[in-house]
Amino acid sequence: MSSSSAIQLSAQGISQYYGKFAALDNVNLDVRQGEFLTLLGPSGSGKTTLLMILAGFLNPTAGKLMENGVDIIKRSAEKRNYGMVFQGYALFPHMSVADNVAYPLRIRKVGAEERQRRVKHILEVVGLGAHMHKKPSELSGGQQQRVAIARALVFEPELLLLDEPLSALDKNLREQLQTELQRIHRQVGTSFVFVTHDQGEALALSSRIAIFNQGRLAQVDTPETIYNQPDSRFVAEFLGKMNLFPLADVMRNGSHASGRCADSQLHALAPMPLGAQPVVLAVRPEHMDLHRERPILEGHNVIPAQLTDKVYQGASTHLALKVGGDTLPINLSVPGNHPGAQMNSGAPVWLSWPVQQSFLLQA
Amino acid sequence: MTLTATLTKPQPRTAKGSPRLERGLLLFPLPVLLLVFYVLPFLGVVGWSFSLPEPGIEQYQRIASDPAIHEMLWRTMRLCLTVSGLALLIGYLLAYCWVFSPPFWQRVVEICIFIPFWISVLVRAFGWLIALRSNGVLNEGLLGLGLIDHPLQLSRNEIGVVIGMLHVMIPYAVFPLLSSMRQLDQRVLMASRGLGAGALRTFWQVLLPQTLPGLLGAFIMVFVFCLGFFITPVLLGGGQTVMIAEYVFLQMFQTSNWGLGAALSVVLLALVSALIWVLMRITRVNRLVG
Repeated sequence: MSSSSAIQLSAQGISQYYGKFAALDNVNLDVRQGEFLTLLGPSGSGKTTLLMILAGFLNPTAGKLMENGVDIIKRSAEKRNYGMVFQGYALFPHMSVADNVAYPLRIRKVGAEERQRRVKHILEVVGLGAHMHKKPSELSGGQQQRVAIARALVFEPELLLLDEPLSALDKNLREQLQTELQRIHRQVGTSFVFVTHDQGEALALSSRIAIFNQGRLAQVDTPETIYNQPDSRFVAEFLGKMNLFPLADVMRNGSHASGRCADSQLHALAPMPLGAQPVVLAVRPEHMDLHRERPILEGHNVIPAQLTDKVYQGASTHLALKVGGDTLPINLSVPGNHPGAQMNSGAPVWLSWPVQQSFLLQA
Repeated sequence: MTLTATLTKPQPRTAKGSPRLERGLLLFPLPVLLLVFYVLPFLGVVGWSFSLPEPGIEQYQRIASDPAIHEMLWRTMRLCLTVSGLALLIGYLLAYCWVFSPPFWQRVVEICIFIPFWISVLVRAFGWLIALRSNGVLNEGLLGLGLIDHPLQLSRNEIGVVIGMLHVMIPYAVFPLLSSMRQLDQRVLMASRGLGAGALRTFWQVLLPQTLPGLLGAFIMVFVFCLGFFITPVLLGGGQTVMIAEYVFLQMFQTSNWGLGAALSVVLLALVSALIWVLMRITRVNRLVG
């Protein structure tokens, strides 16, 4: 979704306190028309709290929720006209699949004929046309989740809120439903706000990701930008794997900066001014290469390391290394046929990676 | 109470592979106990009902034709149904508060239910008598405040009996309702609201249908207990509202008509069994549907 899309819902200065504990601390976040926005963070980071506030199940300590220029923060959940998919489905066990899905339509007094047509249509969209008359308990977990999605979409809500909808499913089913969710999102065009703690899910599905840490919004951007240009150490380490080298005596030289790490001089891009705090050089493991001998490479950082551990994972082998003789742990994966995969623990090696792929973060 | 044995749900088998013999050994005291101390003596009671004062079905004919007995049976039914209905209503509200309130109010409800529950039925009946009689606490208070000019008749009649029985029965209504509300996924209620349903619709279409088995269970508990109430109607009814248990007692120990007392006991047991059978059928069907 393009970043120029209209803003549909705007959370402004949302804070939620439980006593002195801030579950959410001054969060500002826009939901854009038709986007797939993922709220991502570790448990307790406030992402579900924000979703509950968007849904109207929770009244925050402070903040506004602007929809078409109106603050709807005091509007109750039943009046917001948002669909919600709960963790654990929350289907009505005493109603058939069709009755579950028809429930929001009955509330909106949609006529019987139109109701049937829409229930049938949305159940076909989620691929459950053949199970209309079953009870939820007769369906598998994945099917129940699709019913929950159908029920939340059938009344054409302005927004669909999803609270970790895939977390209860096993891995294969989860991947299958991810694809389904993407297709459904394209097909219905409703904005989705999706809560998850699974970074893979967030990267795969989202048009934008909002990363939460300890009740604060750490970064909001497209998956690519967040992955390639995390603007804090937390985001860098939370999303994907990241190797960090603490730098001493950092010097700035135009758009580059350099510093010392365990007797090696390392270089990185530094488009923004550096603060006074200690900095780390960050690089994704997939940009790193492993050598037996010291490589001679232009525009690369090179540093000696020692292999400490390796874990065979089929197509690749995961290597754990340390730099500087003692503590600094580095992780990377090499293909199974790479010479590094055959080395023994304790073997001395050299690491290299392009300066272009190195950037600096506050430690 | 033998009825609780029939009411408890079958427990899921935790130790699947445990030998049959071991399980049989552990369980066999229960049926033996029931046989020796309940079934055999009751067969004796059945025997009396057909043999005292002389062999025949005379006592059952009397039950079928005596208007005084019919009135007593009807009064018993009426009181039991009233108490059950009110106990279910109040019990439902209390169970709801217990499950869905903030922790502080959960504790308050808990205490209000448990403390009376631990006090003897006899003590509570006397307590209500003191509170409700013509010169009792309630009437004196209302008179003193000038809200009434002559005492309200709150005891020695059906009102007193209903109040006294209700007080005893509410916990029995709360417990089955509590367990069925605890089993409910609270997100289902949120889902209903999120889909646009107001509180009333959520209650009728989501909460009530899912707690129906609990309601039926609570009804069986309360109604059956009510049928056997003795002390409370005796004390608070003051001889004006004789229910079946008191009637049986009077037949046996005051008019020495053991045959009629026995026959009424048999009728009571038959009624209770039939009622439980019918309601168990309904709950089972309900569980299948739900």
